[in-house]
Amino acid sequence: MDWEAVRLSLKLASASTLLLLPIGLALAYPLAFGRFRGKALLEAFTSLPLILPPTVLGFYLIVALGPRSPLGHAWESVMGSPLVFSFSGLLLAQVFTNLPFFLQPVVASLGSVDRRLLEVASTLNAGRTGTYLRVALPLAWRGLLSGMILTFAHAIGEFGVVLMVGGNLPGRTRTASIALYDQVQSFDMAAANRTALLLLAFAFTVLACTAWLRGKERVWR
Amino acid sequence: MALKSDFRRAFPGGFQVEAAFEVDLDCFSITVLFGASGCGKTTILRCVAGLEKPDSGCISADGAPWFHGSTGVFIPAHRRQVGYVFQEAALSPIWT
Repeated sequence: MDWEAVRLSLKLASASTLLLLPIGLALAYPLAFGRFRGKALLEAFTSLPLILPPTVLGFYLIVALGPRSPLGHAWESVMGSPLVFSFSGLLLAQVFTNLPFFLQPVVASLGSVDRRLLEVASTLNAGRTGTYLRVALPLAWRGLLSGMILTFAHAIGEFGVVLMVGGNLPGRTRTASIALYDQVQSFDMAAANRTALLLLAFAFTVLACTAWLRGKERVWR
Repeated sequence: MALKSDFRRAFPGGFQVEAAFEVDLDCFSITVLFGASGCGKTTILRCVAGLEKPDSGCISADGAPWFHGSTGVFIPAHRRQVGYVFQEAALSPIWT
């Protein structure tokens, strides 16, 4: 078992879940409650990673994070090393790739919060941010938890984007799912079997947990 | 304090609520709004509280505009000094 890759996968998944939390919460608000022009476009844009081939997504992320892009150039001049094929580049790519996995359960949960409670909060002088953070989000905590679990799980399993943006650098960008690919390529079926089984058990546990959470939400309503 | 309202709120299907009234709130008073079910009592109160936006007209409190259709002024509910008691209890399970 390539424990270094497993450790890197866990580190990448935890960091991308944490980084996605504020970004996702800022996007979930307009998607759940906003009425503005271009909402459908925002919805489509944030859902893109669901259906776009990971290679297409990876290609555009390389272009967006590469040394010729403003972001990649600024990063390189400050940090001294390129953003692509680094852990930080991988992290940014993961945040975008996992956006829909976080947003869909959170927006659905926010949508089912009783609007009257939000109106009560606003008549009691709570501003939009206060109403969102102190009334809407606590009531939508199951969606928030599902979103975070799904983000973490999907970040562990992501293959295409990680390979495109991160390359396959041991200890830096080689995650467990990429280590599995390497093991199969080198006909090390025993090692591949162990890695695959670990990823399978993890994915199954995560899905069982989120299904259980959803079931609870139905029962309690 | 004087509350001045003269606004319209249209609903899909051609139904429209119109309200024009002025209430002097300097001394304690009770103003009753009555009418048949569905005639727009709640809509008027929601527009005054800032929970709904009228389509045109104006609402002002002591000369300060809360809503002005032609200039686009709309002060949100949390910045209006209005208390609102909801028809049914709306208690957040998190805060109660």
